[in-house]
Amino acid sequence: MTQIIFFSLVAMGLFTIGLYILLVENNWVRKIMALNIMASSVFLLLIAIASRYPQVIDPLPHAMVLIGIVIMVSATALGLKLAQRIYQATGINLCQKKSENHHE
Amino acid sequence: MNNPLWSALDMVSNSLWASLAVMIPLLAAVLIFILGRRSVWFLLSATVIGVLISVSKLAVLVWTTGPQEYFVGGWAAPLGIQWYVDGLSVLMLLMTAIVASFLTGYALKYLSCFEKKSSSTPILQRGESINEVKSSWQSGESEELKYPLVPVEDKKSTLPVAYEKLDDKSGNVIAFSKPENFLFWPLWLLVWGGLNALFLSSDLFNIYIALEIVTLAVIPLITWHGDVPALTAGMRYFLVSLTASLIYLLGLALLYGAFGTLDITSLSLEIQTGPTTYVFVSLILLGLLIKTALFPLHVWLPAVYANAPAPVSALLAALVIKAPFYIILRLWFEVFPSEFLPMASQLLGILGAIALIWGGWQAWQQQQLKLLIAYSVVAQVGYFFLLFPIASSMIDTWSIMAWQGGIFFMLSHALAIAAMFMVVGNILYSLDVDELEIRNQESENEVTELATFVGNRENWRGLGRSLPITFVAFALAGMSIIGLPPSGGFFAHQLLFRAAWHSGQWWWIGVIVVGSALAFAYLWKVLRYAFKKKDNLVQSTLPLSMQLIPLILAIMGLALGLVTTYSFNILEIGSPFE
Repeated sequence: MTQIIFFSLVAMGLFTIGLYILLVENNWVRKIMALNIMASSVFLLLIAIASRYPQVIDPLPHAMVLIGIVIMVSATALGLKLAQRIYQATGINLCQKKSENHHE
Repeated sequence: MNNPLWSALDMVSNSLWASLAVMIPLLAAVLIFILGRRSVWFLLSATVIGVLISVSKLAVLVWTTGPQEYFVGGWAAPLGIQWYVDGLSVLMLLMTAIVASFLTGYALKYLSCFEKKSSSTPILQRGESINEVKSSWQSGESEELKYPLVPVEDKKSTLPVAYEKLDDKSGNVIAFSKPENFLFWPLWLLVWGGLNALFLSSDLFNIYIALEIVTLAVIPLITWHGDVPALTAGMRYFLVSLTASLIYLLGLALLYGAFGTLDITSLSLEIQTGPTTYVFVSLILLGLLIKTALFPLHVWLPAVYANAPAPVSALLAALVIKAPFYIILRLWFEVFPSEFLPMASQLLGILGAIALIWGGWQAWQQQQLKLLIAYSVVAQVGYFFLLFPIASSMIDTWSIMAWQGGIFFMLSHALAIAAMFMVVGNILYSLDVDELEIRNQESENEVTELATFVGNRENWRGLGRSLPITFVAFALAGMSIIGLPPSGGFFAHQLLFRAAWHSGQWWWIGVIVVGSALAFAYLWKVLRYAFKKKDNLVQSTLPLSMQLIPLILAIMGLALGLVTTYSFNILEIGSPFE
């Protein structure tokens, strides 16, 4: 049981870290990485939940994690492509331009 | 008829219609992707007809025999995926089928028109200067000028598809090649199929998958024009809605850990009240609220709606935003513990009221037509959420009234707002303004000479005379949004009024009245100068079908008020108030 609590706490910590990075970071790619950290934390939580009974392992969360990973992979690909397009167009990879300095 | 073979066939065919509603769009999406441009017309019409038939069959089935349950692949609820169709989901499916069919027709015309208009201009590659490209294009040497693109100088006269200015001094221009037009359709059909799957599912994880299909497919549609404001808006939408999905997924995982099921029906039996449950449920609710864009979580919405192509904005506002709201509605009355509701419903009601007034005010302040309508969506989302405080006590008759009123709002709003965004597309097309101009975020507050600025009276003057059908459609859709009789919006208002009055929460009536007054103000702002006399009217080359489709949808929005009894009877099938 302590194992589940440990992994759940780690998952919660990771989720918070991911959310924090997502809100604070200004760089598109880092924001996408933050999303991946958040997703991984949820998957970790689901795997921890799968082992909540001492004898049996619940297979359903494993299926959910598999589907979740597939969704996250495609989402990451889409996000990176968008970031690349924006970078190609503007030459900057930031969400908010600090100033108009990059023109000078 | 008692033949067992017949009944077996009957069962198969019953579950067939539900799966067809999902499978047809998904299959057509894949086929268009494989077969390419030539298959578009055939597959799109097949999809529209197929989905309309299967959804209406499903509606008849629910109407005659009550709520339907399907076990996909024959696996029962805890392991397999369960689909559940009751009156509410049938209404949502019907709404999706009707609105999406009309939008598909409109988008087909819209894309081909814009393609025709912009096919005579060259494309620029990254780093190429305008003059180089111009000369190579004129001499006919360049092989790469497959996709049309307009140099920056010409942007007033022709319609660019995608360009971005990089550097003023050297005249270097970045351009993205425009994707093949037919690639629009696989994405479009994925959104449609995802929505259908979402309205059928009764499993929280399955709903998550459907939501993700819709989100991931809609983002490339938002960034269709490929310019920087659209890309940035798409990126923001991507981050916001992915975050929302992950918050939802977190709540879902915790809920599963606590109660061991994600099926809505069994979850409603298993769920126990308590502070931990409140946290789980709040996470799910928060994720869905971000996706529904309830104030103050709406910040992503205006930029996205203003930058997407008109048919995509229509799809987003009419259908995509309704999907998470539908899930909230479902979970609220069926799953969430009843001790959680009073507190949360007041909060949602207050946020909805703020959204209604603030969004209406913002809409009134806007100078760009598309932003104006985008903010009106923010305001209208506020309306939907007023049903929660009014219907907070599940037992009374007026909570049914409020529930019906909220759903009715959703239906009439879907029809009206789809018509409105199509009207915007028509106006952009006939004024020969490139969308990039009005989509330019930086000039948001400047009053420029562009015709699509509502504030510019000279260009608006007489526009309604050259585009009569389009503006009549706008006015009729506006009636539905303001809530004038006999529109569907009027009946929704009336139901909420009565429910609010009977439940003793009269202050919501005041909020609704103020919201309607603001809606009148901002819509009048658009119509005010449109029918004034002017000597040289804009000559419109708009195809008739592009004018008629919004008109038909707007008239349907009005007629919704005349078929209220039928819709209420459908809603009663399997409603949570029994």
